[in-house]
Amino acid sequence: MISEKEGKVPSRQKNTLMQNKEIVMKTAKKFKMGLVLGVFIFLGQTIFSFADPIQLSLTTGSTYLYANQKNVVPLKVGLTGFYLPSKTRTPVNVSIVLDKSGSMGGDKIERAKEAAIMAISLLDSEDIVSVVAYDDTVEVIVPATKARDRERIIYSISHIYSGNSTALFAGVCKGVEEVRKFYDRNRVNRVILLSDGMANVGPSSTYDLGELGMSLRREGISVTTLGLGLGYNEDLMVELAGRSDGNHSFIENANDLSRIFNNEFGDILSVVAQDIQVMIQCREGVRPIRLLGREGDIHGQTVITTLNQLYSNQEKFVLLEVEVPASPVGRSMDIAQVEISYANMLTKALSRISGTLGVTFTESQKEVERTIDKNTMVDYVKQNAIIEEKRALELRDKGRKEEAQQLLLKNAVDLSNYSETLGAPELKKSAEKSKSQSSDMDSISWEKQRKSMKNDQYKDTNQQKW
Amino acid sequence: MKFKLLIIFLFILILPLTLLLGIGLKWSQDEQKIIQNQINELNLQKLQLLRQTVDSFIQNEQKELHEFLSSINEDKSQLRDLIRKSPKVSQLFILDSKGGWSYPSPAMDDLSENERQFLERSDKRLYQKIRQMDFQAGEVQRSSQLGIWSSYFWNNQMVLIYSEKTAENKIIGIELNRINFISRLMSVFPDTPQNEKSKPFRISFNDSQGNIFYQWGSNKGTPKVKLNLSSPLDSMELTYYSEEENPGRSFRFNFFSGLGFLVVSLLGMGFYFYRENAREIREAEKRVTFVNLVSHELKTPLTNIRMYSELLEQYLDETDEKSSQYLKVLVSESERLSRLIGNVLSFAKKEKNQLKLRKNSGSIKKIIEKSIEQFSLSLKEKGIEVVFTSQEDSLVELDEDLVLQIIGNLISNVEKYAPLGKVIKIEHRKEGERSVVTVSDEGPGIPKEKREKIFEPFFRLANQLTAGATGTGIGLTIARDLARLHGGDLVLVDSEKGASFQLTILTPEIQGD
Repeated sequence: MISEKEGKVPSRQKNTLMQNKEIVMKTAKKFKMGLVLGVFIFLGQTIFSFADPIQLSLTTGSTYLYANQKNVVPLKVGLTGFYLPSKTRTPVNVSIVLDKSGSMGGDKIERAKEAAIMAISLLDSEDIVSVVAYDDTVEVIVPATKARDRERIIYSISHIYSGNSTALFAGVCKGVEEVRKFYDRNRVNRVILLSDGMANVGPSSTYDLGELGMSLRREGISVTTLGLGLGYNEDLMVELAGRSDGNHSFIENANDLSRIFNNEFGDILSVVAQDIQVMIQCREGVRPIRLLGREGDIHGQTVITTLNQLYSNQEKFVLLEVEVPASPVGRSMDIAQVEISYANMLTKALSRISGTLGVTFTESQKEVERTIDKNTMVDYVKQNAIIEEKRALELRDKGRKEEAQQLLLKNAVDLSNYSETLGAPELKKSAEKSKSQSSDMDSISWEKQRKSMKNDQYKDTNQQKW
Repeated sequence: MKFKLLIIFLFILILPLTLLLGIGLKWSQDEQKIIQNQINELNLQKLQLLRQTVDSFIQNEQKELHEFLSSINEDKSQLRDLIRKSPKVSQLFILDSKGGWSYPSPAMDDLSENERQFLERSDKRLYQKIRQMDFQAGEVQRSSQLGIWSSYFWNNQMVLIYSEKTAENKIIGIELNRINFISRLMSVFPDTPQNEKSKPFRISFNDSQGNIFYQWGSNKGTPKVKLNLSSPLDSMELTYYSEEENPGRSFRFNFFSGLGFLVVSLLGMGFYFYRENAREIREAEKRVTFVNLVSHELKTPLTNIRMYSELLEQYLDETDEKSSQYLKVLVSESERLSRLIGNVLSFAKKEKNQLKLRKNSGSIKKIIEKSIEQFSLSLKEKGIEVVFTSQEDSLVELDEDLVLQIIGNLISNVEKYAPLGKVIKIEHRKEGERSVVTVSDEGPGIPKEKREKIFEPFFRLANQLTAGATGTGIGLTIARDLARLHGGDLVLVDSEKGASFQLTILTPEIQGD
């Protein structure tokens, strides 16, 4: 079902191989050993260079569908980043944007500064880093510079003092400006925002920050948002991260900051592919209904969505719900053609992969059940459940708490049922979670629960590993 | 007296000061206004410079957008792809030469949600606006480019559009992503390093409702100057904030502290002089009081001396000429002393408005005779002849002591100042209820210019002839006051030779007998 096509290997790749071979030959003490060694290394590198940093997996909910009726089927496009040897990682261009408004005073700002300093120590001298701090105005603490000038960077960071109200939008924009200075499609271009408060100076609505995120995604810059404590606006932070395809995390305690920064930098330093475009071309008659958990454009039969980056050893997927028209028994057909294009961080070139998805029609329930792809269905069920949870959250926000709780309990029941039918214990866990979220809605610390919920929803929707 | 002085003093002091204060205040207010205007002008210039920076940004943006639009071909999927890859762009659009929608078109069956919403909000406004626009004339921004900016409001947010006419008379344009545009525009503005937090100004870039997009500078102050950005961003403005300044504060401070100093020193001086004056007055009062007390003290022993002298006169042997003579001198001198003391005490009483008329009955003629008698010795010594004519002798209502005092003063004056005339003429007549007594002499007389002055207290004519004479200068003063108290007056009448005083007093007849 999958065919892999690659982009052209640029000629300099071959030269590098030759150079390596020569070097190896020169350093080999025993000529024979050297030759053998050389051949092995040559082969290894060849194999490696012909393997994609992305592994594509295309699945449908089940490969057999019921004949003579319309079927609603999930299509899953799974992308997994390959293991990345650390020496070949993509250089980074990151801006750390810190909230230094009054509420960050004392312990929080100190932990934040420590975390930032620690994270910078993970970079090497060719990486580019900048630090921006904001309260009601913005200060560029460390303009974009190579990370080798560590002492100066650390000094500047340690002299950040907290101030007044919060110009989050301006802070992020200045951070983006710093990233633009050394913007390179062959770098990982990232802004990390740490805030503990509401935005109240400048554009501060969830919509506006979402729009910013969206335009930044197109530029190839993602924003990771870290919310510290219980005072930040989780809708805003989630929207900004989501639309720019960055990471998000709710951090209750400032002491966790260093660990979180570590995780984020772990991702940044393991990017294998960027500017990933997923195009799903549905065959005639097949109607795309909706994308679950991701933004995209649906133009008739064509569905296009993008991911900003893919990390090594991580899977991200795109779930598309389609309606397949009624077909006679025994018929097999392709329902969609999937084309992925991306910037390959290893070869620094544009690469493509493509594949097709097909189904067969049957009257037999057993056949259908036999061909169910459990993982796909589990992801499908989960994403649907998250959509319900989001709806419940909206109801609770509007003050319709009982309705929200009912919705969550029903969600839990559905998840439980699916866990049975699919034989998937992880869905049971999700059911439990939904139930406890329902009772959490009664809690006095709803602020915290809500942040926690949004945090979990985000990570599940975006397949964030931490 | 003291109170009046104080009032006058305060008046003199306060009036000019108030005037000065008023002038000063107005002056400083004007100064302040001028300075504030200058400051505002300067700050406005700062904003204008910033606006120019924004204008350059727009110009540059236009160049980039022009290049972008020039590279477009009208293939639908390419357009969509281009949009997906362009952070600046919210939506691209093409209108055909007749002004109808070419892309996105309501006729398309594969419109995405974004495209659909774009058509919804743009259809009426954009469509009409742009279709009618004349690209060559009027709305062309900045020289060579044939593109125009336009904007409208949707859901309270500004929508910014750039469009150009193609060679085939189509219109091709971009609806810009508002947030992306603002964030890039913000890059022309500076950030706020820590040390600038203390500077006393702030500038914000905001919309016309005061919603701030971006700000830099300190965190204090109120808006002082505003400046709208140029088209197409005229719904946005720059605002300059500064603290409540008191421009010309140092000027005002100097002026008012100088004024205050002046006031204080004037007050100080004033009080000093006032106190000095008050002290002098007090001293003078003490002296007067002393004199009065002394006179009063003298009165009693003197009365005794006179009484016993008169008693002695009666008991004395008329044959003892020498004793008689000596006694006469004693009596005369004690009478003189009495008169003097009487004058002083009367004067003191007059000053305190304590003079009283004690009505009694008596005969003017007899009083005059008594007075003449009192002076007989000294008059004789000086060789002054007394000529007394009186018409009548009726009993009338009068204050005997008072009349005696007046007559005594008049005669005493002649004795002191006009002895060389060798004569004193006294006439008495009655005119109805009034008695008129005229006392004249043939002495040096009184010069015309001094006629009123002689009645002033302590004033004595000074000339060679009177130089050696003694006197207090209050005689005529008292005489006139007493005369007036008695319902009449004392005046100096014209006379050929010497001085002639006419006394008039009210002396009603006493009924019955």
